[in-house]
Amino acid sequence: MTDLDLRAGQIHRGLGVVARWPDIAVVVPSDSAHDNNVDAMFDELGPEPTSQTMLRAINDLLAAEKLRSVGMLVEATGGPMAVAYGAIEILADGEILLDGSQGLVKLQMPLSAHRLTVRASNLSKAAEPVAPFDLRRGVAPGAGLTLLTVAAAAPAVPANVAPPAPEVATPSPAPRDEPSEADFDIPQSLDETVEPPPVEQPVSVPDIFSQEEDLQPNSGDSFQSAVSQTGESGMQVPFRSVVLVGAEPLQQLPPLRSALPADENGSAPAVDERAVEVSGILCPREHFNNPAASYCMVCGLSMAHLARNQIVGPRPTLGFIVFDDGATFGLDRSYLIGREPNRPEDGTTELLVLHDNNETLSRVHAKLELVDWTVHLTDLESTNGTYVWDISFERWNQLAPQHPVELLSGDTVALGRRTFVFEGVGLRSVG
Amino acid sequence: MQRIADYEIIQPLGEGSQGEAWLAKAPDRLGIDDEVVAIKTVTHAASDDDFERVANHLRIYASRDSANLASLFDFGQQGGILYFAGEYFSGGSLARPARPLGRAAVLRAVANGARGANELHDAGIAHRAIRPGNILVVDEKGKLGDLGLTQILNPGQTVAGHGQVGAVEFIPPEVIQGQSPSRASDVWAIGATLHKVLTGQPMYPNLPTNSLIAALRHILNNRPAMGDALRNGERHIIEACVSADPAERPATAEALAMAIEAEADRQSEQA
Repeated sequence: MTDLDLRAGQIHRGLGVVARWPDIAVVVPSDSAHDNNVDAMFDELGPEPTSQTMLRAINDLLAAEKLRSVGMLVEATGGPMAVAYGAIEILADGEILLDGSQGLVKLQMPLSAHRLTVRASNLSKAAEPVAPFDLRRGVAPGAGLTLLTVAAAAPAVPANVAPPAPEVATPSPAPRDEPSEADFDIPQSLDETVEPPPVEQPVSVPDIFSQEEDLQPNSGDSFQSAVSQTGESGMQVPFRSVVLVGAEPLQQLPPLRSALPADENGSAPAVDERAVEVSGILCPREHFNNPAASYCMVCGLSMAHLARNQIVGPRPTLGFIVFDDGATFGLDRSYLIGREPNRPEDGTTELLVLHDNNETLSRVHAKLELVDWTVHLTDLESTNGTYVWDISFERWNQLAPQHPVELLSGDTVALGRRTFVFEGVGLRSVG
Repeated sequence: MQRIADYEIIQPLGEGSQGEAWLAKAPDRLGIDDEVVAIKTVTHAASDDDFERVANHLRIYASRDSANLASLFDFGQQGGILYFAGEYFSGGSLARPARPLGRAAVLRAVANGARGANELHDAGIAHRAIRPGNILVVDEKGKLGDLGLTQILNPGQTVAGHGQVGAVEFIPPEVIQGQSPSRASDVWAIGATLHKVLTGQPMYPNLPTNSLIAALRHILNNRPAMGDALRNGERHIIEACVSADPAERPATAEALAMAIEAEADRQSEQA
């Protein structure tokens, strides 16, 4: 296992192809005029390319002007060698070190870098959605690839995983796999290979990502499992599929009742916050409301002069939260929020899985809980904390772990680097 | 991109609110006559639970085998990507028909979509994403396609993260506020779709488009305004669909389909 192969790979969405083989990571942004040539390249490489055959194939394609952009990381002594040509950027820990727009360039990447990214340079610089899929071997659609050292992914490693015997990173023993100047001789080369920064001894890490089953299709009984044919191109990314032609549902659902919410869980056990009963008041048109509200949340009629006779009824939605990327969730239920929360056993809390390119979210980060007519936020001992923006003092207030606070309508909340705004319905608001 | 699972990509079809779409060659294993299919991808690290929840919805959808619903052929997962393969419509959608449609034909196509929605409701599922782009056109008939998968993948989610802000007019206020989708919320979306395809105008002319949260607040604090280009019969139908109180909307999408068809008949007679 070389340094490159120890790294987990995440795919950036976009048009193009990303590929990984032992010692190699390649990104070819889509370019309709040349896509057939990319096919031809993969054909030529066969299923087991080496750094050397890879570099040669790309060399030939570039010389013949059959490829407009390509980015690549290959394993080399002293750290991964990065190569960029065309609309490609290569980054180490978020900093652009290489840009192929002026022609072919290459550079040795620092061994100390936790994150190496090869991406199409037209991808937005902001938080680009990254598919949290660990591509280890094979070809997948995408316009970029970020490779994380295991150290960078460390928060995900359970504390009780015993590290294996320390593995000393040694230079690749097989010289034929090492790229050399001679192998990589392209006329328009502009850049000299830059000396790498002082080499840091690589952290010895448990080899948690190397299991082959990571990429195997999950062949549960209910799935028809189909394994991708090894095409002429040798591309092999396993997939699973359910053929829907002539399909019959495993379980019929009762027809929806008029105006009543659907059960999006299908046959799965229903999360049913709606069954929670609370005490409230009726508006003149008999819509059930928060007793503290001045206006009906359904029809907007004033309830200011109503006799406040409280009755008990099923709790309506308490509002919604809007995340920084626009994803909006309704508060007709409680949520457990995090990168990878486990389903709680009580069955009344929904999971809200968030993606975070900056790794600032904990696996289970916070809980948003409906309590009577209020919404409570609790930090669940997250690594980077949960914050509520304090509008009067213009600062972020960090929540004490395991200590619920009531959210007011308009509150902005930060979980690591992800944020959301809470909009309450008929609740007290901020300011 | 050359390939998704065992589908060979022919060309991109564009990017929608739920993900990206491609025209692809149908693999033999599907056993269908169609040579090409539309394949959509959603980047989502789906757990086995997620995968099965979506598969169950799609099995229910596919088993309707209805003239009012676009056919779905295959659903799968490759790495961090979910894909859906379905019928390809060279006639485009009501958002972008390949050829111009007459007003009565537009009404009938929306009515077809409403009938498709009703069939889903009877089978126990809400569509959640009805809009002009999801009513496909074939031989001047409409077919409802593309379930709201983001919402099925993420229970409780009401607005997908990367759509156009303007598309929020197809989401009724009660769903924005957090209620789960229903027959009544799909009825709102059909009414909003009808408004959009007949007038070309948004129902909220002053909708802020620079901020989603501002747009959502605007919808919660304002009533939709009917465009001038509507005829009286059309206006009555749409106004009923976009009532703030779900109970005041047409009770079923089928009742709505009949009202729209009656309006189309009336217009055809007058012509």
